[in-house]
Amino acid sequence: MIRRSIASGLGKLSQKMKSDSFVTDMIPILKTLSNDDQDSVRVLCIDSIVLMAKVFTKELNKANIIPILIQMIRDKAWKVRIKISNSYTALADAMGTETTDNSLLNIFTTLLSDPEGEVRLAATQNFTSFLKFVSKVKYPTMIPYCLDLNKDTIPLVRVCSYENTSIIARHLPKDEVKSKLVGSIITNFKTETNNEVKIELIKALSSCGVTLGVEFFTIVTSQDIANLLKEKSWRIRREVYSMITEVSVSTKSNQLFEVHFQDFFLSYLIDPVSQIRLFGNTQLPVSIPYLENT
Amino acid sequence: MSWVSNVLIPRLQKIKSSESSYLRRISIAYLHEKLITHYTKELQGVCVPELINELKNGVANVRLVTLKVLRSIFDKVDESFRQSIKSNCQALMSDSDVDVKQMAQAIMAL
Repeated sequence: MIRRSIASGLGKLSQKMKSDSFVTDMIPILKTLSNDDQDSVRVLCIDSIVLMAKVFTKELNKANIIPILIQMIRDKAWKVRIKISNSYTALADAMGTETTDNSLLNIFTTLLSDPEGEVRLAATQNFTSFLKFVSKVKYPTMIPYCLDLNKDTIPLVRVCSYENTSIIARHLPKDEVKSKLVGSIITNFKTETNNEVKIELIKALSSCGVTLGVEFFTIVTSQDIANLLKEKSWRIRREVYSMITEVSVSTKSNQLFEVHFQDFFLSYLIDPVSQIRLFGNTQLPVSIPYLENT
Repeated sequence: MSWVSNVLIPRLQKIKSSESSYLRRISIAYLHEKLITHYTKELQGVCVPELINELKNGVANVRLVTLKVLRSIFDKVDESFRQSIKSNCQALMSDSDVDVKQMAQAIMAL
């Protein structure tokens, strides 16, 4: 109980003390408590670490906080690793983009590959907000992790991973999207059984389409789109129609729409589900200005 | 609005001529409403006649939804189209369906 109180209080103390004095006097205590037998003590250390990171300089964070994090992400207790995953965005916010890019990102990828499913889930769920602090030039390094997590055994991990894939796809070079993402997403769709995952998968495909423009159709064939629209779930079909609108509007190409999408899109008019027909009706007026441009 | 006139409207007409389900005709009526709402000047000449055609549909629900759509776009369209809407609604004031009759009367009262 005393050690828990100290672990919890260290963070608050860091707000009051001068950093240099705090580092000299308190960091050794933090290091000891981060190796405590009780995982509840180690969990409380993490909250304190976040508070410390806010007041420390870049150099102090690098010298004192980062080494402790490196050690703690391999903690034997999954609760501790989950706590770190859930605190990661706050840490990135506290430490800034440079430290995030150079240190935190590498550490975080370990959590994305954690053997414990709950840890991977927490890391993937927090990845979306964490990405805001990562420089876009670093996004290509995240591709292998997204590709692995897109095939995770836990459906919710796959859902979150596709959400993250959607975000990074919009900022990747076209070559990376073309060679590494699109083909994998299309292949995964064929074997995916969970509808919620399929919906996010199509959103990720949509992001790829927005980035690639007309080059999208060097990989995604008409047969692929036809297969997507044969899905039994109307929510998945709705997402496909949304993808068609988004990609067409973003490329501002009526030729792209007329050649590749038109017949597929207008098939919404005869879809058996009214929600699809209503949805299509809302999308069409949005698309018309781009279809009328020559 | 060449794409709408040359591609969309013919596609809608084809669906209506081959389509047995009244539900899809209703969806098309709502689409006309959206098109007129967004592009009144450009598309009233194309969409209003299509809607007026549907007032003769054998299914009361189709007639009713069409009247509702015409009521919603009435104030947006030009005077000539308003006259056309009213003259075509007149016959429905004695429609066999009570709801259709009432909606037609509401439009005539505008």
